[in-house]
Amino acid sequence: MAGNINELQDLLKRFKKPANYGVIDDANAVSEEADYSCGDKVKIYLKFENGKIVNAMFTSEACLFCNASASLITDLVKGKSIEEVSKLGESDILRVFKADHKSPRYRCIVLPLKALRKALKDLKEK
Amino acid sequence: MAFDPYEVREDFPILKKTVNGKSLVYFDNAATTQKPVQVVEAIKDYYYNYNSNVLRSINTLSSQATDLYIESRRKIARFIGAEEDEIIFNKNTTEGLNFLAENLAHRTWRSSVVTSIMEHHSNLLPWRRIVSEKGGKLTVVGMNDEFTINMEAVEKSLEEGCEILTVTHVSNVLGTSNPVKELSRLAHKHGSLFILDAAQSIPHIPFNVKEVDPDCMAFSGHKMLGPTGIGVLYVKRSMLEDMEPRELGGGMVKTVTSETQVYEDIPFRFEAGTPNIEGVVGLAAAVDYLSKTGLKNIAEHESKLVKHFLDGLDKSTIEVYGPRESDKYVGIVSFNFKGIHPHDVAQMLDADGIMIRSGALCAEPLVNALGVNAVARVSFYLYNVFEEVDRLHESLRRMKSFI
Repeated sequence: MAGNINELQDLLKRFKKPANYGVIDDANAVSEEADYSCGDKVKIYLKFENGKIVNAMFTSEACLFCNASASLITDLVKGKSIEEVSKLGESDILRVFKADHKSPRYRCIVLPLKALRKALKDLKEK
Repeated sequence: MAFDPYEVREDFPILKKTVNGKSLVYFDNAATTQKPVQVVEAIKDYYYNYNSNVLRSINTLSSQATDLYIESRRKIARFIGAEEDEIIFNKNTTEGLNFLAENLAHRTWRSSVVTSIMEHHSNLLPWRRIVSEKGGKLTVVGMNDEFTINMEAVEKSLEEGCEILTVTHVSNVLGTSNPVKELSRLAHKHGSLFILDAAQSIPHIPFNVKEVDPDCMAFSGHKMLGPTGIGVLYVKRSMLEDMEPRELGGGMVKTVTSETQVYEDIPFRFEAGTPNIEGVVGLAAAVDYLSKTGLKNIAEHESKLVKHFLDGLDKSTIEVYGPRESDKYVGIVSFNFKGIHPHDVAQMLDADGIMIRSGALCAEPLVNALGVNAVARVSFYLYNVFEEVDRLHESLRRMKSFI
């Protein structure tokens, strides 16, 4: 787990203004997830064209880990098909933070993934 | 007896622990407190020397365990100024408040309930459910500029026919203390019941039910040096005599025939099944410890720690939620570091060996009313010292370079 102060400091610098933060006005799918035990909220916007996710953005009221995770996830999904994106697992994201399901920040890190899965489900149903 | 926190610390082995390479600083006392050797030893002594079921068997061991159990009940009741048959043992404050909501709904449903924005979820959700199931009205009154309950709003609700006023004594988020004597007087003047969530006050300040006069009051053992899984519900005798037990079974009946039964006297009528004997014994030891130390000493010490904490904060980076005067806090302060989420603040402090709490603190409406969705919270107790607060200041100062 990114526990030491230097790693935290790096994360903080890197994600102070996280990439992909913002709204997609003409998104095909928007989904929100919240973790009420900690107060984090994250919303994912997906723009889908010709079988591919062409743009992904997020907005949040959340901690550094949740924001960093959302930023990475929205980067990862761009240019990919729903099928490809569906393969994205918790471990792929947790690895970046040197975390696992037992880490204290597990819930913060996987929250954007939960939002993404909800958005993908919406896209499939459309 | 002079109060010396360094002497107190010797009774808490966990405080010698190292966390993330640093000596432990425990500032999450509003969540749960550490346990002194005296409490752990009392539980050990019970299991090694007296373990037996209580109030049942005719044998020496059971009789000794029963004596210990009854004596523990007496101590715990006396600690809050109650009679020993006016307290019911349960698992925690949450269970106590749920019991009250369900019990009052079961017997004589009083349709108009007033609570406040300052409540822990456990003093809001049970009432909301009862009102939605049984009908009636739930009013949530707000706060004033002093971060305590809005008394005008309370009085208005009472005038409009509130029948149950249920509020927190000390806020688990803000650390501010509501004027409980005045609330009690007002409620009774208007013929309303007065229920108190005392989870954050009983461990920290002198309290006597005879002075405050609540009709019912709930608190938890683990927030006052006792073990987890033991809570206390105080109910005035006249009211308790009238209440229906919710759980039926062993230990709560005098006689049972194939057609009917006669329930036990209070409080045993409300304690079906084998009780949490070790919890009661442990809590009695905790009460002994607190009484010996003196609640007044503890309150004064925590007040000094709060002042030291507030005085040393860099106001350009830290926003404190609560009154300006440090003597308005009962050992709890919530704050935010500008530009850093409270979870990240908590984790960075954790890396320095300092344990705090962050999030919505099981009081989401209150945290939202402060204009945020999460806060960082420090909460002190009798074993905390100034040097620990200095370490917190130093860690917070270092965080400034991160943003």
